[in-house]
Amino acid sequence: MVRLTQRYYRSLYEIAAVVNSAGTHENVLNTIVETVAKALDVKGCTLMLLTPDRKDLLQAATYGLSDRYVRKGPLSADKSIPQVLKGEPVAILNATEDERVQYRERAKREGITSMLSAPVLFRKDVVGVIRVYTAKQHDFTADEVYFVQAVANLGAIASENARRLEQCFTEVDKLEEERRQFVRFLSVVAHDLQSPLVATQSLLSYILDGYTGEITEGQKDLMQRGTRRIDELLTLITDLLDIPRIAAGQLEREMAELSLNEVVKQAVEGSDNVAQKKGIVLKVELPESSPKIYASKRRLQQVLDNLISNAINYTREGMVLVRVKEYDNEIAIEIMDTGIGILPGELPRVFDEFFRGSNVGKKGTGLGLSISKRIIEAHGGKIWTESPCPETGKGSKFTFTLPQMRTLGTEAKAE
Amino acid sequence: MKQRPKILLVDDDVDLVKVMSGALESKAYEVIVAYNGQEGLEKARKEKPDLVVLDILMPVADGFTFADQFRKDPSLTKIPVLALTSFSESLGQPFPFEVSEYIVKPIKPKDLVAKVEEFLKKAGVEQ
Repeated sequence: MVRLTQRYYRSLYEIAAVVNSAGTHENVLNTIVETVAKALDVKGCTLMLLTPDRKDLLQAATYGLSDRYVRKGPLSADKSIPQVLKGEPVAILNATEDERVQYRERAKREGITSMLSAPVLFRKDVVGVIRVYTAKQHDFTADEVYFVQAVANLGAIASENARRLEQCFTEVDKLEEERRQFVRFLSVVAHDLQSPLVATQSLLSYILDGYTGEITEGQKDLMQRGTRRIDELLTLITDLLDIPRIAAGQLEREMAELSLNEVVKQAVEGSDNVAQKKGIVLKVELPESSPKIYASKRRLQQVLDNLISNAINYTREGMVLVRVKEYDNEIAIEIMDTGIGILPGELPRVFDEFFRGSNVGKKGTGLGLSISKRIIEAHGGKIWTESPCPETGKGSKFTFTLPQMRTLGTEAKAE
Repeated sequence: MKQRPKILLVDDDVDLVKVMSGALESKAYEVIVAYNGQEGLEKARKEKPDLVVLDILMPVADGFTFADQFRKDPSLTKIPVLALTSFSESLGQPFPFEVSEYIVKPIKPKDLVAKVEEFLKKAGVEQ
C-alpha cells in the first residue's frame, strides 16, 4: 500500500514537471501516458482527444500497445464511450468478453484483459478519454481511478496551453513577416513617389540656371515657387514613410556608438545662418567631456534639426539655447527659446500627428514632432515640452533624454 | 589633338539624363548615355570614359550590380565613379562598394558640372 502511494506521488511530481515544462504538447501527452502506465504497473495507456466538433475521438498519445492494435478502428465504436463522455469512468473487468467492447478479438490477441476508461476534463468540459489496459485481470480501485483522472486532467491543461502558445508563436511569426514585407513595399513606394519629383526639381533647376537661355524675373519667380512646393512634397513623403519604418524597428540597423557633443555641435552649426538672419542668438552648453551614446546619428540629427528649427521659427527675437545635461542613467538635451510658446490647452497635443499650433502659420507638415517622438522612444528615451519655459517664464522648452550607454545591456554593444 | 573628356552617364530617368547631359555638354564634355546597368557596362567597355556618373538607385539594384561588375573588371576598375543617391541613403550605411564620391538628389545640373570639373582636375584629366 505504502509502495503504491509513493509511486503515485512520484508520478504526479513527474507529470506536474512536464506539464510545467516548455515541451510541445505532443511531448507532454506522451510523457503522461507513459508515466501513468508505469505508475500503475500496467500494460499500456492511451489518451484520446475529441475533435473540435466533438464527433470523433482522435488518438493523441499511446504507450505500451502495438501499432496494429492502436489502429484497429474508431474508439467511439465502444459502447462504454458515451458514458465516459458524460463524465463517468468505466471499468471493464474482461475486455475479451464484455459486450461493451467492440474489438474483443483484437484485445485478446493483444493480451489485454481489463480496461479502465476515464474522462479527460478541461474546465468542466469533457475533451477526451484516457484508457488504461492491463494484461492480467484487475479490479481497479477508487484510488487508481482518481489517479488516472487527476493525471488526465493535468494533461488536458498542458495540452491546451501548449497548443495555444504554439498558435500564438505562429501568428507572431506571420505578423512579423508581413511587417517586413510591408516595409519592403514602402521602400519601393518611397522611391516611386520621389523619382518624378526629383526629376522635376532638376528640370526646373536647369531652366533657372540659364541652360535654356534667358528667363524673365516673372518666370524665375514662378519656377522658384514650384520648386519650393516640390520640396515640401518631398519632405512630406519622406516623413510619412518614416513613421511605419520607425515603428517596424528599422532604426536598430542605423545605431552605433556616438559622441553626443559632436552631433549637437553639428546641428547647432547647421542652423547658425538662419538664426543670424533673424537676429536671434543661438547658444549651446555642453558638458566638458562628451557623453557616449548608442544611437543613429542621422536620426538624432533629424530630431535636433526639428527642435532647433522649430525654436528659431517660432521666436521673433531673443535667444535659442541648446543644453546637454548628464545624469547617472541618462543624458538630457534641452532646447529652450524665448518665442511665442505653446497655448496651455494645446500642450498635450503637441506631439500628435499633423498637429500645428493655432498661434502659428501653416508652414511645415505637422509631422516633425511626432516623428521626433517616435525616434527618441525607439532609442529608449523620453521627450516632453514645457511652455512657458520654467527658467525664463516665456517661450517653450523641449527636453529629450537618451539612455547612458552603460545602462543599456551588453546586447547593444555586442551588435 | 587633345580629346574632350568623356563622361559616361548611367541613369534610368530620361528627364534627369536630358538635363545632366545638356549641362555637361555645355562645358564641352563628350557625354555617353546608358539607361540601365547592362547598357552601362557595355558602353563603359567600348568607350573607356574618364568618369562615370552613376545613379545607384536604379530599379532592381541595377546600380549596385553595375558598380560591382565595374570594380571586378580590370579594364574598368580604375575609372572613378561619381554616385547619385537620395538623401536618406547618403546618411545611412556606407556604400557597399567603392565610389569615389557621391551627390545627393535632387541635383542641380549646375552643381553636377562643378563636381565633375573638380573630379577631372583631381584625376589629372585635361580639358
